Amino acid sequence: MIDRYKAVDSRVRRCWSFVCEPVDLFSLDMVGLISGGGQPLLVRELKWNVLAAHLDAPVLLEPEQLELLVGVDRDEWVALSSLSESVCFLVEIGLLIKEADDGGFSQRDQQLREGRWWTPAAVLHAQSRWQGMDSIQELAERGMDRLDGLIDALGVPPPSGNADGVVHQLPAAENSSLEILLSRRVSCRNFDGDAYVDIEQLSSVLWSGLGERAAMLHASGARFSKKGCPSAGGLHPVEAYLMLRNVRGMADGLYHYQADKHRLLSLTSKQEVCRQMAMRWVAGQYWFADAQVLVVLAPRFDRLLWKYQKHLKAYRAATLDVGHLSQAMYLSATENGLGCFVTAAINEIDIENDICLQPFGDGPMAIFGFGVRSQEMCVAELDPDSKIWKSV
Amino acid sequence: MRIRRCLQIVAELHHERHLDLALALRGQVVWRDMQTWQLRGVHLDGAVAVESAGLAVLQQVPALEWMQWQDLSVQEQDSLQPLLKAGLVYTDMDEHAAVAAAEDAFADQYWHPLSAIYHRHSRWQHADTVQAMERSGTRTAQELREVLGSAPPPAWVERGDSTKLESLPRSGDSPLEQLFAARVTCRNFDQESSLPLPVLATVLEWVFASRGHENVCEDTVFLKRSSPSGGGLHPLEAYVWAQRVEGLPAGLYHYRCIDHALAPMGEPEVSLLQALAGQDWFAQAPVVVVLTARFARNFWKYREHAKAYRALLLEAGHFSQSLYLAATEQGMGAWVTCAVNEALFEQALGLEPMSEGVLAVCGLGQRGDVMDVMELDPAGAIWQPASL
Repeated sequence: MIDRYKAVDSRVRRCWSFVCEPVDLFSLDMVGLISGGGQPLLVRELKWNVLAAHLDAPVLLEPEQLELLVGVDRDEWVALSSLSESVCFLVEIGLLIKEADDGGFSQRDQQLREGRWWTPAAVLHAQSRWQGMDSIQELAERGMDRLDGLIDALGVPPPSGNADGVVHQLPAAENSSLEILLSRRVSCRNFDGDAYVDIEQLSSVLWSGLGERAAMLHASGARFSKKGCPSAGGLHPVEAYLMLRNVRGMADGLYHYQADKHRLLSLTSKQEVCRQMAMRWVAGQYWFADAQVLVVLAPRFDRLLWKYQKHLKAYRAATLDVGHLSQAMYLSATENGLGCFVTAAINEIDIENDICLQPFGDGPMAIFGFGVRSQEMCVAELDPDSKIWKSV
Repeated sequence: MRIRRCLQIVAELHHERHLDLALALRGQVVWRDMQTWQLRGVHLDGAVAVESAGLAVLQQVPALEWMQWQDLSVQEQDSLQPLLKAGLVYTDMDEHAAVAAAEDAFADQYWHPLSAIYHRHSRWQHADTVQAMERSGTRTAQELREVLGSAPPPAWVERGDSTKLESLPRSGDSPLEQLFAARVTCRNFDQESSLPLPVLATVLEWVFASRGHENVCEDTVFLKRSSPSGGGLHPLEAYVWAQRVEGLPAGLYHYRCIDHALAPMGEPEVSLLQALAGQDWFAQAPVVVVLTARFARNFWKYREHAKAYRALLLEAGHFSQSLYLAATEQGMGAWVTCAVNEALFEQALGLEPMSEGVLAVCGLGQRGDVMDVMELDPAGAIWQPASL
């Protein structure tokens, strides 16, 4: 294996961004087992679980391998031939980056070098992404897809709020058009996939939170948008990518929303959009898969981190921004008489692949979906006040 | 005496450039990259720096069982002292009982390990963002642009096929649309006036009140609120920091979402301005609402789940957006920030950060007549161009 690397006289350097955790693994002591000398039969072995921001999964290293890894400079390239043969493993798994590799390690590593991330946030972001996950199947296998099974498996959840002490009773709220929308907000799990959403409805929901309503132009050309939602530093880094199916006047397909012009750009996709793709995006949550519009909310980290360089809270701020957008669209979809939902149980990596995103460029964090409600409630929705569903 | 390692520790290499002093004395300028390991735990704030020898000895100490202190060499025992002091390893002696207890409690909380580290270590204690901005000369967007030396990546990007543009119809007017259009983060509060209690009550009820609940069984209740929540668990709490409310004594309150009532928690022992990391334009709001998450309620379902923490932050964003719209509807200004000293809010509210943590802080109140601090209102929705 080493010859392959040496043959092209490769140079390597250490990846930019990783953390590691000590992990104790136990194995049976076979020698002790055979000799039966009354010694403890389990042997502890320490490994390092290395979580790198440019990799999608953790890697277990021996302490000696970790030592090798940190012995290689992270800035200067060194000839692979000058290093011990044992580093080949580190090159294979991508912790040592080969100069001009085609495998993608160097490209993602380079993004992180330029990306100004605080390492724990970068690693958390990278490694909380899913690929090919069917979250429902997994729950169903454990009998936890229904509330009864969930409580059987997990016990009772901690209560909602506490209820002792002296209290000041507050006057009841006024009614208003906003209050009516807030009271009608019920996450929809029953879409009529055969029905159509009007383009005016699509337009209205996107405009609510994402549309640029006005802008302040700086002399340098920097532009600060005014939108229906607040955003940290006024940067509005969240991009919206859409999967449309059954929107009147629009071809089914993938689109990118342009906030300034309030328009959509078609994205070329490797495959036709279909229910199967939607199912993959929402990680098997079949009750969401028939929504006519799926909006992938993905912060552009380069814009956010332009200001918040290596900032501990930047990732939190971006996530809050996504939450603001989702609630704005919830209310707008409700006003438009549509059903809607938001979920973070998504296969980020599949979405990145389907719409050709770099994980440290635009990072999908949630999907907001909306569409036409079914006539019948087949999957339970939480509507205790019968605001949407007439009680039977 | 026996010793063990805390279960969840994250090590990160820290790089610093140092001038090679020996060579500098001989007139050569050579920079050396110094690497130290920064260790972070879930019970301590801040990182502990160790050399590679410190990391090596950490490996010797098991996490899932005790080891005898005397089985370590004297040298190893010495290397462990800083880690013992920091509480990344602990003994079975009384002096380390607090770490042992924290370790036990943490094991029952179902935190996803990396999220726990992220949460604990993205909290601030004594930060003053305004001083920091002044020190770095980045108080205005103009200064920021100059100090950072480059323009920000563009406000929007052109993805997709520009020849196949689909312009969308402009959406019509609606009561909701008017609220979105008038949403401008307020940094100029009227410091004389008090917020009428009915206005506060209305905003709290619209945004945070329970609108019904489903009792699955006697001890398992799911609330309905105006924002969605992962698993319908609604683990977010709202605490009201009342500074000037007509008919409500100043102080801290917990909002009871079931009863639509405020439960007094006494006078805050910390300064609001400090807790808001020096953001004086926000500290003038008559009412501040602290959004916290009771992690155990979400983690009951989403155990060691990599996305659970993200879902909680999303929920805080939903509440904040509703609060903005509700305040706007009531003719009030509002703001949200996560540039806060969480540790000071925790102190004021008596929270243990890994059980119930501060995610974001909002405020609302009457606007002042003059824009002293810049607000982004290019459409003139709030401020007439003449007053700029």
